[in-house]
Amino acid sequence: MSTASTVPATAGDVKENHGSLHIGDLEVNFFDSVDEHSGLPPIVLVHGTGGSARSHFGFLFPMLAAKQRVVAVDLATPQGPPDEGQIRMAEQVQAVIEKVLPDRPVTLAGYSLGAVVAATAAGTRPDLVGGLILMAGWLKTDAQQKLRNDIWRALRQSDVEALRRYQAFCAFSAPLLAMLSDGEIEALVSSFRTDDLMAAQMEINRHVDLTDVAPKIACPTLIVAGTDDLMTPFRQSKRLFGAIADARYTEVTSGHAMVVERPAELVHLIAAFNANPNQYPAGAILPTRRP
Amino acid sequence: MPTSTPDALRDVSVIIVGAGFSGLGLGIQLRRRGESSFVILERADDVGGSWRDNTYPGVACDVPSPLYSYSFRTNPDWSRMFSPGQEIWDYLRAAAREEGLGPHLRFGAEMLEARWNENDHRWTVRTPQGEFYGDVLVAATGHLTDIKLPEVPGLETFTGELFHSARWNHDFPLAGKRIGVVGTGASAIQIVPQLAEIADQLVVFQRSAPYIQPRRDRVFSEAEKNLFRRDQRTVEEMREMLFWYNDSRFAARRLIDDYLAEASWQALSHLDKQVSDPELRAKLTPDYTIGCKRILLSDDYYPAIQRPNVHLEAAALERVEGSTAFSAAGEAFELDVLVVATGFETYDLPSSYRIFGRGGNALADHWSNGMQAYKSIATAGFPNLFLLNGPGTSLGHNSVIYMIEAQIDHLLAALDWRSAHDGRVLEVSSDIENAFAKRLDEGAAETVIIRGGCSSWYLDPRNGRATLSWPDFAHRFRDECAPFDPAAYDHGEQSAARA
Ligand SMILES: Cc1cc2nc3c(=O)[nH]c(=O)nc-3n(C[C@H](O)[C@H](O)[C@H](O)COP(=O)(O)OP(=O)(O)OC[C@H]3O[C@@H](n4cnc5c(N)ncnc54)[C@H](O)[C@@H]3O)c2cc1C
Repeated sequence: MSTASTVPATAGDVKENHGSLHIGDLEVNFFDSVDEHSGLPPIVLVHGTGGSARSHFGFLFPMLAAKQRVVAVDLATPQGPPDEGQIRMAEQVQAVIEKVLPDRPVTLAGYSLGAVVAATAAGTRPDLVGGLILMAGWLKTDAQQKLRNDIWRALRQSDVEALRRYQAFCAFSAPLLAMLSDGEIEALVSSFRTDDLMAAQMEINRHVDLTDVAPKIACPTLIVAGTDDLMTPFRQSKRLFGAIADARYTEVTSGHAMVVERPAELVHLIAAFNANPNQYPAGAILPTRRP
Repeated sequence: MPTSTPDALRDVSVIIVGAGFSGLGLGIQLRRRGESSFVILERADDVGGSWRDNTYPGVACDVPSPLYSYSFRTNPDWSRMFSPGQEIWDYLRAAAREEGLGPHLRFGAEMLEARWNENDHRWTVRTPQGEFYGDVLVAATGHLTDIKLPEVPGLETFTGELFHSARWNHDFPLAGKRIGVVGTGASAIQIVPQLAEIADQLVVFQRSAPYIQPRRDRVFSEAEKNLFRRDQRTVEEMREMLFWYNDSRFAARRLIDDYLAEASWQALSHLDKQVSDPELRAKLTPDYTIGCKRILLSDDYYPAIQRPNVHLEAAALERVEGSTAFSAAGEAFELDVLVVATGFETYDLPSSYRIFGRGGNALADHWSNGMQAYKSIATAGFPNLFLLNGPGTSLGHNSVIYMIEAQIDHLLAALDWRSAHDGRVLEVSSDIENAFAKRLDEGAAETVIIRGGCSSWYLDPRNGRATLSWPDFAHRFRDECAPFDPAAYDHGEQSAARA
């Protein structure tokens, strides 16, 4: 589902290679930080609806790349039937892994729709994925989410400016929005996309269903939910926690836009999981962090 | 041997030196675990460390109070986001009292010398109050505690009143005086707006302009404080939000373009907004990359500098003759008072000249190439010595208390391990210490501390190493340094039984 891009990303000081590959008529771009730094598995990042490697991972990419290799995929939006969207996108991720990081375990980390795509990729090709992180993901689009999707659609027809405000309202947690100045709110609002590609991704969101693929996920998995997420409510993450055998679960105090609201905490969770996926056993709820 | 008066805690399991946030934090945790065999030696006459010594007008923390406090003693009563120093001192005094540290504290007990005894494998600490013996020595002596005066010829000949910001002379009336403030660091920018109100003339000697961002301070309303009292979770939530937000600011320190640009913009747009005179603005514009020195927070410093009775001298204090202070730019100022806000001995700690490990080796000698410690807590050749808030713990972007708490967890686990293993001695090897230090050096080389084009108190000028600085997220310090791994330590010897 969609998230703001308040953080226009660059990889800053971190070296990165840009590459692309073709699947049918889709061009898939990716960024690779190349430098291994350590014996840790590389991390593959998959962005969410309306985002890109840069807009969703402007923080995570360079900061994770300081300690391990990171590859971020820019998903191409498939044009076919929306219920095939998740598998078409998963194929892109699988193709990038096979091309850039062949024959080695990777930790695949997806955010929002990217979590759905990552779960699909891990369930259909368990050989490619050594560890899986699902941030603000969901198991199967439910009625609450469809209702939000309906409003999105209707506003896109009737009032694009209201749609942007609605997106900001849905993406960020109430406590975060409450702290912002008028100017900051306007900056957030204007960062949202409402274009055709975005609309196509919203259609894919409507049809997400991981019920069959989730049980096929074999690797250690970390599920990260936002306590205040309106778009993929934390109970959806809990459903993933129930459906994936080797899963552990944790919450960050955030809305859906956790990559913007709690990026440092995500770096902590991802880096710690990548270094030791079995630090907590399958079925564990991570201890509450009290910094 | 000095005559020792009887003291039930003369011979203990743990000797803690220093009663600031570090020493008290450890003491509280020991008490809460039911330990009684420890003593806290403090040279001054009260607890509080930095917050006892810094009483200058305007003193306050620059990390928000809900975060700048112990996680295990959140405080619903902070008056504001950045509470005044007195409140922080009171907080520490109440903590010491309410947690039952009174019987463990010894004041006027300066560690004059600490020696590792090769025969019984224990520490002896000599103080004006006699000797103390302990299995474990914890140096919680701080690194912003021993004041540093600038090396300015003639300073000692100054005929007016002169004092350091951390040794404020409250007896000397400052109203209507001609006052010079030396330095523009964290203390100076809190002092200047206060003195500007009362001085006849105020001259600020600026060697290097600091970056200053809006402070966003505010009072906590009675309703808020009441909520904090009624629902502790609300204090914790604010603390967590502040912690993770602050930790995200490390991206700028790691020179990630967009975050660096954002941090610069926050400071420079603040300057633009508050200072319109282009010439003054130029003087107040820093010449290094933001974050290289501590980023300061103030809404009243720039306005104060623009008062008619205030002069910003964009040059260092160069020499003093009688009542005249000369700047490096050749300007002369007649002054009644000089307030020296030039900071502290940071890289070559006085306490390190007083701690002697194996073979009578001084910690200062061990550190002649710069201070370092395995996981910022243990050093080779100094068995059963643990350092709190020592090398590799300083942050520009988050609360030091968080770092101290991570170290306390390491230490408590080490003490547990010793209890479970017949009091065996814990000592790291040079290899392990050096490997850790090398990683920190490599990390620092990627950060603004090394690459920002400034000299800061985080750097050891003898070797250019960022020996004080933890060059990563604060959370990473907990992830890496809080866990105690016995395998990293050699542990052959055993402390002899207590007398
Ligand atoms: C004005 C000021 C503002 C600050 N604001 C912040 C802030 O906002 N955020 C932040 O994170 N940090 C801040 N700091 C840093 C601050 O020093 C630490 O946060 C913290 O207070 C350090 O606690 P400590 O116990 O490690 O050291 P200290 O507070 O320095 O305590 C060390 C104690 O050891 C004693 N001691 C030293 N040597 C001996 C000896 N030989 N024998 C016996 N006793 C000895 C000293 O007297 C002192 O009481 C600030 C520092 C200053 C000076």
